Amino acid sequence: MSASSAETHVGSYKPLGYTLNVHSKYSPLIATKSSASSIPTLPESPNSRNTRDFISSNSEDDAESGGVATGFHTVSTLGNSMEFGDLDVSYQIAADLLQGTISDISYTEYANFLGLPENHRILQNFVYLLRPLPLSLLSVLQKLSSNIYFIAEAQNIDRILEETSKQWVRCHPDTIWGNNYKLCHIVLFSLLILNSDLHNDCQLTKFSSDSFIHNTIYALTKEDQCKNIDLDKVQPQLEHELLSYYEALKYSSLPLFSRQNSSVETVATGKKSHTLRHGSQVSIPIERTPSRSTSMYSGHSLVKESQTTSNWKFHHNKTLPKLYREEPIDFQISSSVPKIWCMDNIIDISAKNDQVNIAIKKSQSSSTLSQSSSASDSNRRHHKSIFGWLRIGGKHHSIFDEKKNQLTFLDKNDSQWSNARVCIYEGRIFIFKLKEKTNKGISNAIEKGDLNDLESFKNLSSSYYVYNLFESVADLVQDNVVTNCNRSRTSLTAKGNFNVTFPAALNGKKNVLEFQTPTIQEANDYVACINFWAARLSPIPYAQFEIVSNEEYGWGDRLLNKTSSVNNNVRLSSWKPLLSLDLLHDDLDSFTGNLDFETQLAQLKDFVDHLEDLIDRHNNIKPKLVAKWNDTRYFEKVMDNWNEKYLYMNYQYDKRIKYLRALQAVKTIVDQ
Amino acid sequence: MGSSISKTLGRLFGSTEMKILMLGLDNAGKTTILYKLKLNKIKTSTPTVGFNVETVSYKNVKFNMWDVGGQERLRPLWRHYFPATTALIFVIDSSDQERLNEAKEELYSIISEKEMEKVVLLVWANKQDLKGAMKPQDVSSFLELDKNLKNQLWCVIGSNALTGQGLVEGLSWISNNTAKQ
Repeated sequence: MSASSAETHVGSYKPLGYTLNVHSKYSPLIATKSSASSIPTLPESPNSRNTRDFISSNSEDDAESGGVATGFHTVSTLGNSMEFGDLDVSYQIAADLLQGTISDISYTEYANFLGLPENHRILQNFVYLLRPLPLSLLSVLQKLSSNIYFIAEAQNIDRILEETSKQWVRCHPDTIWGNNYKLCHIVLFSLLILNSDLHNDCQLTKFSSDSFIHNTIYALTKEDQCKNIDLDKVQPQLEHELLSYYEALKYSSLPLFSRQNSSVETVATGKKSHTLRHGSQVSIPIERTPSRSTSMYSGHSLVKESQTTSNWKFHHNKTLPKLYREEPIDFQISSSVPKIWCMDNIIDISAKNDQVNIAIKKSQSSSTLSQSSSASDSNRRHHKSIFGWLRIGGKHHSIFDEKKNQLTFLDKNDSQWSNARVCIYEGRIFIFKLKEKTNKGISNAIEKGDLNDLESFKNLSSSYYVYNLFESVADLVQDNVVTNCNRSRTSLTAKGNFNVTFPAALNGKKNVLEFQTPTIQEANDYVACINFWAARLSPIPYAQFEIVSNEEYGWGDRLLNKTSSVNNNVRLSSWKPLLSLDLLHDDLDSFTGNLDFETQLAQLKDFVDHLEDLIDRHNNIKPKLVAKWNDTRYFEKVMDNWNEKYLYMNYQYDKRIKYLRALQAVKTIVDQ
Repeated sequence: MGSSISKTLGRLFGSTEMKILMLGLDNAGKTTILYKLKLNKIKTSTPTVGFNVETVSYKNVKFNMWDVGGQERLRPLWRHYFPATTALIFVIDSSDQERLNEAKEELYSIISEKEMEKVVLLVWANKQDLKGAMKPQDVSSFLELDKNLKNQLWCVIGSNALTGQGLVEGLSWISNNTAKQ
């Protein structure tokens, strides 16, 4: 990608309301500049209010009469004359645009600026300054694009081309077009589409000359002004002209104007030098081999860890971006109930955790870890791959596969657990597996609450990994399972256990981490802390629930409420949850514009209520469904659909209600 | 973020090659959506004079996104874009109710073309983050897709191009419904 394209992208990917911003932000500046340099007494800048006045005062603009031309001459011939006030500003700005001396806007945005409705006067002047306009419409475009960086929003281009057409028919009244500028406008626009099509690298199928000519003429016939010309008579000539444009454009694309040295300060001295206005031709070979080398993207990306994960960044000593919006509540919580805001202790992690393998695998690819650990890992990975088929195809694994990993706490054997420092901090979980059993020095360091030592902890651990808590959820095992096997032999207090579930990632597997704490209370604290962060960070999955479609799963209103029996030709789709952002939870390692605490809480509450309602309704339609589809060949499929959706909603409900409770608990504490 | 969405695309579409046309009024958020989908691993085209034509290719999936706008007299030219399109994504600014009618007209003038008979239609009711944004249900009733579209499978999904919400869902829906074709 060339430097200039990079610039375009930076420029054009501003979020919402960008077009308007350009205007409101820049036009006053421009006016100020012009007035400072040449028209000191100018009272007002051409803002949207008064430019509109100019345009309406000049309402003959849209007429095809010579009225505009006259008005135009007045403007241009009188040039800098003071008495024309605001009109003069437009002229000056147009001239400055042509000179490239307007520094408040990047030159790549000039066309967008010109195309704004409120800058119509400037546009008129600008096109006027380009006169004489060549007779060939293609040459007109070439002239335009070698004088201005001509990539812009379609509507703005539309306005520029329309104005150009108006002036062109005035310059060349004796062509087949007569004074029907709208027809020229269509041809110019069509040519520009053709250029974008023929010279866009990735475009698979290019227009053929036939379809280009055909479509263009079709568009002309749809335009009223077409009645003014005898299309049948001029068609052969028109086709010939379009074909010649097509061939010429195919041979060489429209030049992309560029201003490599756009240090506008030097130009702004007022020198009327044209030296900076050389359009650098982007030379494009005629026979281009499509450079779509798929090999560039193949394979690796799925295996290699993405550089956007917390883990990668942490490992490579990159700053971890902030995941949340800092608010007063953060201060309140961290001072009054610090445990909810941050947990950091040495506890036990199940040695069986999948995640550990992943972590070590990751470390393996880096050079910092010792050989021994990577050797043992490759064994483990090898082992994994032998039984890999057991896991592949996330959908079909048995329920035991999923449970198997989460039952370490039932195992009395202590060797199932290894020591780890587990720190929940600002929306992430940091896990450092320690090289040896609990080390007093380490615990003391943690108790001091010095979080800056996270870095130095890398060296103390055999492996470590960092995950953000997007869409994750923590459960206290003792909430669900009552047993006596998790009692330590040496102590009478029961140990606590909690699991953290991360959503299924691209590899189709849910990750579940198991932890054990000395007390149930501590496990509870971890759960509260993790769910608080997850609830704050995770966006509410509206998209999935608000989707409207004409797909039929078996419970569409039309089918259910129809009294007649089911038609035998129903196009039934299979219901399955759409993939969503939580698929990418691991990569969402940046601030996602999540809401403030109060709003998130309110929306979560609404969402959970809504979900309850949906689940009730889903349950209520079941008898209807059975009645409707029973004895049809669709019965199985409809019931599968119903089940799938039911399970999905339950899963969501389960998770969101945990989030809701976590936030409500915090709210209660803060309110006290 | 971007790189991960592209990974998803690879997973979703596998080795199918499809042309997805993304259209919508100016300021509907197409560029922002594209930016969200874009990433270092994806090849982007060198800028070409004229419109913001964005082509994102990932493996064999090709997204051709054309910025459609302009006056009514230019609409017949849109058929330039239609051949070989598998799916049409139409992006709507759900917060701009004044232009909803214009968007509706544009949508129908495209979808009712003969060449668009077999496409699947995804409508992104974008800018859900803004106050007063219409919900997908409202957008769908306004567009009257149910009444007017007999051939195409369609779907309206709320999206927020800034956070990426709804984007993966939408592409996932397209892949669910084009796989067998």
